[in-house]
Amino acid sequence: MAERMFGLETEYALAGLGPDGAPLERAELLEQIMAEARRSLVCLPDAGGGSKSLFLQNGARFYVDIGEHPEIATPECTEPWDVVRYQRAGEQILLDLTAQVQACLLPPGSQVCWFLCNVDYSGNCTSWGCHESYLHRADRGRLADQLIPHLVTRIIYSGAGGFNNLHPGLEFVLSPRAFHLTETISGDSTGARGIFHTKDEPLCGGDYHRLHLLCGESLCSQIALWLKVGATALVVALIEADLAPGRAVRLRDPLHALRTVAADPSCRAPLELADGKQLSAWEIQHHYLEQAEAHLNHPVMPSWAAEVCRQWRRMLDLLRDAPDSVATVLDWAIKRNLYLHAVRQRGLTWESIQQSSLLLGALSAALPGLDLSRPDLASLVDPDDPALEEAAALTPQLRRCGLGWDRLPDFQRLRAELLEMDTRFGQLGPQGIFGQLDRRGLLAHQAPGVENIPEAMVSPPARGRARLRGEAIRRLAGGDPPGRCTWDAVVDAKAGRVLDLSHPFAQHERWTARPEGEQRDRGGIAAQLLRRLFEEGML
Amino acid sequence: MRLRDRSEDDDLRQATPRPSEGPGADSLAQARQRADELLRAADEAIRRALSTDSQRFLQANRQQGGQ
Repeated sequence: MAERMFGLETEYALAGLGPDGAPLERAELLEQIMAEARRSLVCLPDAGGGSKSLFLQNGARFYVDIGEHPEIATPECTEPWDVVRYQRAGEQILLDLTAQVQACLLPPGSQVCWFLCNVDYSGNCTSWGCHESYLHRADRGRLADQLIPHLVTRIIYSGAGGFNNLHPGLEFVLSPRAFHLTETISGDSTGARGIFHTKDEPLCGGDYHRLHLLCGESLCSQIALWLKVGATALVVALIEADLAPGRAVRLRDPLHALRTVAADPSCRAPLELADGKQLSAWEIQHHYLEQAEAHLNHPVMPSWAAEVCRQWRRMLDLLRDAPDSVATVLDWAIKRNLYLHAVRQRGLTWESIQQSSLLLGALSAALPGLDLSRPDLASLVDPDDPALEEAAALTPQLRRCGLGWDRLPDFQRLRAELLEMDTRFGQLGPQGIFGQLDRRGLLAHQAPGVENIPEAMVSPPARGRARLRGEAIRRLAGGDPPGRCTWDAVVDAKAGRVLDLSHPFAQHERWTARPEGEQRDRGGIAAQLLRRLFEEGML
Repeated sequence: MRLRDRSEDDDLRQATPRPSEGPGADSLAQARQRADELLRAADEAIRRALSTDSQRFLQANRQQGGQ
């Protein structure tokens, strides 16, 4: 049995709201949160991250990333249930930090909100990520080809659900993030993002590579998150063993297939393969599962592979009857159930919502720049205006659905409510919709072995270098001069020595005194850190 | 309470979900029944979650793009 290693980096949406609901200044709020983290958490500063990046005693990293998104990277984990535990532990750390900031630093009545989501609904059309890292030794040239069909089709269980925020109306999709992936393969992470991200920064020594995925989404459902990581880790292991698990299911147009899967709650829409055949997302996932099951005893497979396959099969069995069968299990299906309910409560049908969305799409195309959230929108529109011919052509369809231009403000109000619901679904803390439903025992999302979150807030995983990092941080935190940390080294500035964590599965501490000649000259992040600290006189 | 001193939290411990067998092999009818039960409780959860002015909330929660 082989060890696998992986982790998550989750960018959060942060909003500070004053007593009157007006937004608080985000840069200032972030500085207050980071200051509280430095004061109250057992941590070391990131050697390369300035004041806005810390390594924590549980081996995780907390920092502020691009776009002012606070981010938590879990410690490196060797079991999928640990990924879920450390993800949830990170969220509780954020809640505790902001409770302190809210109580001590903000005006009474202010609120600091963290949202587990990946798209903005203010009209900004932006997205941010939940990235996955998988350590591997596969032939990098074969990785994308074999993995892409899995990444495209896994959203039937790993999709966060929500609305396509690039659409002016309401387009419910299994994966809002999918619409921000515009390339099949890309090295870009903020612009032309790809289904497969080519970044390969191992953050360790030896012959390891790090597969870095940015196509995934933040999830509330434990089983969805557990399976996303577990199944993908097994597919990576199969590729590493040169077993070509995706050879028979290569997609003719992966981007087109991704949008098809994202729009299909039945999970049965046909996808065209490179060889001309057609298979559904469900069938492609079943193909990967069978590959994993057939090689359970292969040396590259981890000890927990059988359990992942068991849960994977159970999930695919459930998804035969999607979406109803998973309406209390998976993020996208829970959301869909709630939003359909909200629409029905207003005396509308999902079809009428789709028609109104079409109208808004046509309006948006006919009048670019028009603020579609204006309450007086209907009065601005004259269906007889030739400039609106395309939009006006939809009037008979709207009437058949019992709608008209005069109902647009109602639709806009409903739209705003559904978008807020989607944002609030994954809000951390007692107000979040998912959390409320979960506490009432109404969801069936639990994954096996995800327990003792409080312990994961303060202790690193039992295996791998994260344990050594966490233990060293606990000893060195608060020292004078302060220690420093990176993913592959911890600096004990007081003793003038460095803990080498370049081996990802290191079991014993190996401290090195001040770097000499060859050691200073070798490549890698740890060596660069050593060299810089040496040159700065810290060693 | 300083987080530095904290090792356990009773509230959190209560909220930690119990290990389970995952989704299980429930019949579709049972799944639909559970979904209906969820909807009966959802109104209260949504009412507690939403602001009084969703459009204003969305604007106040404006987010820049990330990675």
